[in-house]
Amino acid sequence: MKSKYSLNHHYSPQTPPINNNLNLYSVDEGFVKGNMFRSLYQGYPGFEPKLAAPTNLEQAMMHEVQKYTFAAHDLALYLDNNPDDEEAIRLFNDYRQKAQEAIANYESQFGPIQMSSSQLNVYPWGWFITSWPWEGIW
Amino acid sequence: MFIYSKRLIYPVNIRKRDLNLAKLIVTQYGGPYGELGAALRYLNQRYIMPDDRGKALLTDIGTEELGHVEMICAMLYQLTKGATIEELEAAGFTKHYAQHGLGLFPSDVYGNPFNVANIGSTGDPLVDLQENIAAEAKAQATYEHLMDLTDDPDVLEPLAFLRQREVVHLARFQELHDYYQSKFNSGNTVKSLA
Repeated sequence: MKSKYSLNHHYSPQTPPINNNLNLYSVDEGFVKGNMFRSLYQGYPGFEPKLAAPTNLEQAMMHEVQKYTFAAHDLALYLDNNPDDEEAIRLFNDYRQKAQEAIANYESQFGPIQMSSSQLNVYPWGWFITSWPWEGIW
Repeated sequence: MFIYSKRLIYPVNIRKRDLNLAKLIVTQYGGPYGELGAALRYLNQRYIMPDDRGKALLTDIGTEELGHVEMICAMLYQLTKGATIEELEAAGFTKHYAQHGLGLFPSDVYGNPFNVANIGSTGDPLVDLQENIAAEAKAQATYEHLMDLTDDPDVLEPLAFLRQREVVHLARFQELHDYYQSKFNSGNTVKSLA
């Protein structure tokens, strides 16, 4: 990729302003960007994040798991610093619940991704059913 | 305690082997501004945070960093998997191969093993948070340099995701730092915040 240093405009990374109005991205957009908070987002000049569309059912169902757990986690970091924000607590719990559902859906289709999964009540030992994350999902 | 989830935070599906890139990305595994150092830094600092906000934020970001370590390792694994001796020689990967084969090893780009001396811990919550703000900025700069050095979208997407997480963490550490600073300025002490 072209270096930021070869761009014409001056690039100066700076601390994003802290803005406590939530103003969130959608769960889909926030996940692709790696940031749920519009006021905090800092793109890298010359690069537009766009996650490739899932090519199979497993990728698609894992995407649901990843995006809702990500959204809940990013809200949790905000709430650690801003524990009195009722709207954020409501949203966190909405994302948390959707993440739980997405994990249960994925596990019922492809096998356990958590040691607490009921999909482990099988013979032989069910922990090997799902592939290892570092092998990728193809 | 920690419980493993058998999934990545964000997808890593790299199709093209690239040993030269692996030699560079390894710094975000075991280098001075890497993810392993970040995870240890925050999980180690959290004990002396004065209140629930600090203990929670350092625990939750530290835990996320462990997931980033796994993403970086997945990238290194996929970039090197199945490499032939000819490819290793062409890419100057033979020193790594001699010591580690195609196994992963946390080091910086020069091959120096991961070093905990890179982890700040001062016992002062404000100073530790300032350390973390700087550490996130340095990690962000490193991700930008790595993005400059590849055109492979399979590699760029996870690098950009990890870079953006540094942006968010920096902002959260700054937010917490400024909150504590205002508390201390108005007469609170570490003890009175607990």
